[in-house]
Amino acid sequence: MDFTLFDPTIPAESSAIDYAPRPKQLNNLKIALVENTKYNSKAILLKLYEQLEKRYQLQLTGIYRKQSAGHPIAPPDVEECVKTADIAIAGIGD
Amino acid sequence: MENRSTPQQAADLIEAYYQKGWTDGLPIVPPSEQSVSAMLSAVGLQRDQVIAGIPTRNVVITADKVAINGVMAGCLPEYMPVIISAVKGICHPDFNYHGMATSTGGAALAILVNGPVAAQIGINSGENLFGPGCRANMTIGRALRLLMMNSLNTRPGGLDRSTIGHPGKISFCFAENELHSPWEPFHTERGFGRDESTTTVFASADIIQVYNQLAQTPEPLLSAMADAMANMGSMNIINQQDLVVVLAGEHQQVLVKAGWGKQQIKQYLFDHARRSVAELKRVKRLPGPLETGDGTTWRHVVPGPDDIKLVCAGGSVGTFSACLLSWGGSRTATSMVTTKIQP
Repeated sequence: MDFTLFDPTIPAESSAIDYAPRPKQLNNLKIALVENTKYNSKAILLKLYEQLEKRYQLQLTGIYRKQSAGHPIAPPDVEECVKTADIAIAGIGD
Repeated sequence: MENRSTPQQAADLIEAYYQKGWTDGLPIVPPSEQSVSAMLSAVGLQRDQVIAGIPTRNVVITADKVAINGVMAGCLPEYMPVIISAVKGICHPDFNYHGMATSTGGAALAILVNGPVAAQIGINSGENLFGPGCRANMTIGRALRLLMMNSLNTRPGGLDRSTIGHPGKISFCFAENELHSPWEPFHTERGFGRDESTTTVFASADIIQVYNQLAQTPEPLLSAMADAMANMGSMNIINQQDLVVVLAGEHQQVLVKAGWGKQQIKQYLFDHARRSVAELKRVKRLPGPLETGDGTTWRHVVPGPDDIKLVCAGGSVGTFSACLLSWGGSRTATSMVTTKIQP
């Protein structure tokens, strides 16, 4: 049968994501933590940092808190992360 | 022959939309050039005109997609101004679409319509307003959900990760009964005129019907409502987001006879919709061990009386009202957004 379908969809515009270069090793790196407000998010991140610190020489530059789990990290916090840290770790938890 | 084949063709067309994955599980109304054009003409928009966008979804919504999803939902052209207003509302940054649409919390998109447009296009604000039977309520809410699924990539199993979902996710649109309300309409509290029409969108995780058949004075009546508002399993008791209380006919009369206004009602509900920290720790809604003083330290369901939004709606007969509790893990997760409807 020949009929016309009206497409109700909108394809999401694809955008290239520039991933930060992955460090080859962790010694002497500055690390930022990004917690998403979920109840255990900060606890998991701090535990992870604690474990990493036992194995590597690290410096914690800051812990950034998002507005909510459903929000992106605030642009000023991104800028600060970029300026002050070598890597950032984001966490999720409930 | 033609009479027999036409219904079959219609059925085939509906089936084709199913096959494409473009429905919500119910049959849709197949759009045509004529029906899509009528929707656009009703609001004077061109097909490619941008209505709004959601950066976190990398999506820009154009008028033709709103029209197509509206026709599919079963809308009439005169519903388009309301749909466009609600689309602008869900795209407002304060609403934070991505959070409510994706969350395991499975919120419904509730759409409250205020102002003259509600009566003009027949949005039900009376008996059974949350139930079936009214085309405007059912199809406007459905148009938004179809748009969310089809155009905003909010599909179950994809970017809709609801653990259990909500029947209101199919459609959830209603109006305030301003004609018979004893108090000022909701949208005038938000700075709009009585003669203006608005949509208010909010993420609602639960609707609780509150039955109180014996209360003849405000205090027992509102105490039952406060108990429902502060139920310990809700997101609201943790996130303390604004919530909506819908007061229906006989309950309104109890309050009016006692001379209570909106502010007094809100204050009473605020004072009584609370749980002790001890209660919440015992059921593990708050963390930590019980401490001295937890039994007399109170967590209110909202930060202040004005965070309780009162709406008059529902049938004039019956001793039922309702509270529409909010979604979100924190108060900053989302906000209600009220948008003027352009005639």
